[in-house]
Amino acid sequence: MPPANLKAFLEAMREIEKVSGVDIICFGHLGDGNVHVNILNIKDETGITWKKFSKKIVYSVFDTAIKLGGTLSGEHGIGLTKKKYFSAFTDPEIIMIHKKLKKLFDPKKLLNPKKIWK
Amino acid sequence: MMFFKRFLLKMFKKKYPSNLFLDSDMTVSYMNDESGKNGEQPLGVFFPENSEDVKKMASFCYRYKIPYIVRGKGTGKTGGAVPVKKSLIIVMERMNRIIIDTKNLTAEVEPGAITLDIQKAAAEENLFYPVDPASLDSCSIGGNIAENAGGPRAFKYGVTRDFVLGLDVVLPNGDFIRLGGKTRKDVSGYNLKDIFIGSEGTLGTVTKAYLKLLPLPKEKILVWAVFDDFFEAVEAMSAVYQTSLTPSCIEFIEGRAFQAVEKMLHKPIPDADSQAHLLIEVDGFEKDGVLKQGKALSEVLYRFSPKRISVLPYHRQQEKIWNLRRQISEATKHASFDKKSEDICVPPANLKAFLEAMREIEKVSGVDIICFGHLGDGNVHVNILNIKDETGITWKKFSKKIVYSVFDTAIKLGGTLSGEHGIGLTKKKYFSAFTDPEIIMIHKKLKKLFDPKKLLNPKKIWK
Ligand SMILES: Cc1cc2nc3c(=O)[nH]c(=O)nc-3n(C[C@H](O)[C@H](O)[C@H](O)COP(=O)(O)OP(=O)(O)OC[C@H]3O[C@@H](n4cnc5c(N)ncnc54)[C@H](O)[C@@H]3O)c2cc1C
Repeated sequence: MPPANLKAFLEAMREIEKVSGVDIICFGHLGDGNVHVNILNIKDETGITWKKFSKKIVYSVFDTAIKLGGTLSGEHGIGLTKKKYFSAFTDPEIIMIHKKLKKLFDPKKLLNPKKIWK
Repeated sequence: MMFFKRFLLKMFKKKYPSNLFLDSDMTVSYMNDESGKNGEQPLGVFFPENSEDVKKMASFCYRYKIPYIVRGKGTGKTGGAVPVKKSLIIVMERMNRIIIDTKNLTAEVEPGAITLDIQKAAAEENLFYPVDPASLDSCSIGGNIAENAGGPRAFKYGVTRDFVLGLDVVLPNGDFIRLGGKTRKDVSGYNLKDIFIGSEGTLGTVTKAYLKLLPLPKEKILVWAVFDDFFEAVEAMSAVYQTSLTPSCIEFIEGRAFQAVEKMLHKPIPDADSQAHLLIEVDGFEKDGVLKQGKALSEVLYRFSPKRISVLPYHRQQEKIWNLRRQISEATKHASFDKKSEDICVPPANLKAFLEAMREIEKVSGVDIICFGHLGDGNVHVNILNIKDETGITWKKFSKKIVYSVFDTAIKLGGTLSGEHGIGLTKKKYFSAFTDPEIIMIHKKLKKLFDPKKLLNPKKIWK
């Protein structure tokens, strides 16, 4: 996010920790406003409730970043793991341009299919 | 059909009486730019005040299939803002707000803002927008973004693209999109923002930009070296490359270019009769540091038998030289009946070969080819002057052949047709001749993707 909004973002992370009870450890490129947000499962060994639960937390993390004028990814890209969120948080007009661009270069949808957007 | 379009515009004017002008006295001044090319007289001229106005006009044009051209300040050198078809001109000059954000080190600017005004607003906060086209006091940031403009300082800092963090764009169908913003890094999805930068106003209308700023380096030193041998100056430049010095720019000026400025201003310039001048600037935060670099630079340059080296520590002295440098384009025009000015770019190591080839073309053809420009970036302004053929009849055909050879030389040396001015109208024939057909095909498809009705700045870049 824009560096001036880092404080607000990190405060929101603390708040999510408090409410949800999960551990959220942050580190990263503070000068660029680029934060690595590590959401840890340290309680649910089977991972069954964690699976659903963590998705909600990831959603809130992204929601906070976007509301603070930020973006889903500063360095790691969208790929497979974030494509659902990309589609949820990106202007439909912009997603449409992504699809058209993909079609322009790869009309047969052969190269690395099903990435970036849902 | 044209009658109907004029009628529709008259209706639109009722909503925008002080923004839309349809009278001939007004429209006649929007047929050309600094390329010297004349286009069609526009149907009207629209001055939006915010992105909502742009959106409304774009939607209107889309609905009624009216071609339009976005115009900044008309300083473009390749006819980017010249209407080829009967079109509407959207002039961005009323949208010129500048907000400096000291907490994010960014500037939020409207496209009509003058580049120099952005630099001044940033400097008031001790911040720095480095991109410095020679036209900086008269060109707009929107035009800079559309052309991906550069300047002398690109050597150290980069070009417009390197400072754009985000763009607001109105697409030809009237939709508004925001790409990026005040974030310093962003890899969420395709980098669409960069498709618009350098697209010469053919894909969308930029209604706002978010620019990255740097801390302002207050100390500067200018090393002015004069050479009696043209090629020694080029060799000296490559020697600077081999050091750990970090100049902000390495400019090259042929003596004949300064002679043209002398003639225009009726003022002598020291050593204008020498073959070549190098202007090397070092900037920084401490006087001692820049002075040291200046000294080290001079030592390197002395190895190439310069006629003289002056180290200028004061801002006023430096600005005097830079002002002379900024006059060259005008002066070479002044000194000839007509000129073709190209701005090819080659890998710096091939500069010598390129400049040798220019000498050869001069010898064989008998025309004057004066070179100057951003030597450190391999970006040479090649001014081909008509000083003999007053009628311009034989010149017309002849000059095309010479321009072709200039481009051919650049491409063969791994270069490109344009380093900063773009293709626009004046170079589109050459773009099509020298560009891989597959790449031209992608250009056409991209254009179609964003502008299926071919309304925005039609008939530019490729033939
Ligand atoms: C004396 C002189 C020196 C110059 N020196 C340099 C130099 O050192 N480096 C350099 O790079 N250039 C230089 N130029 C060229 C010119 O100044 C640049 O290309 C500049 O970026 C054009 O800005 P403008 O506002 O005048 O744009 P215009 O000429 O009005 O338009 C140029 C193009 O940009 C498009 N455009 C303008 N605004 C928008 C917008 N908001 N959204 C979408 N498209 C838009 C137009 O459609 C057009 O295609 C020089 C020109 C002159 C006359």
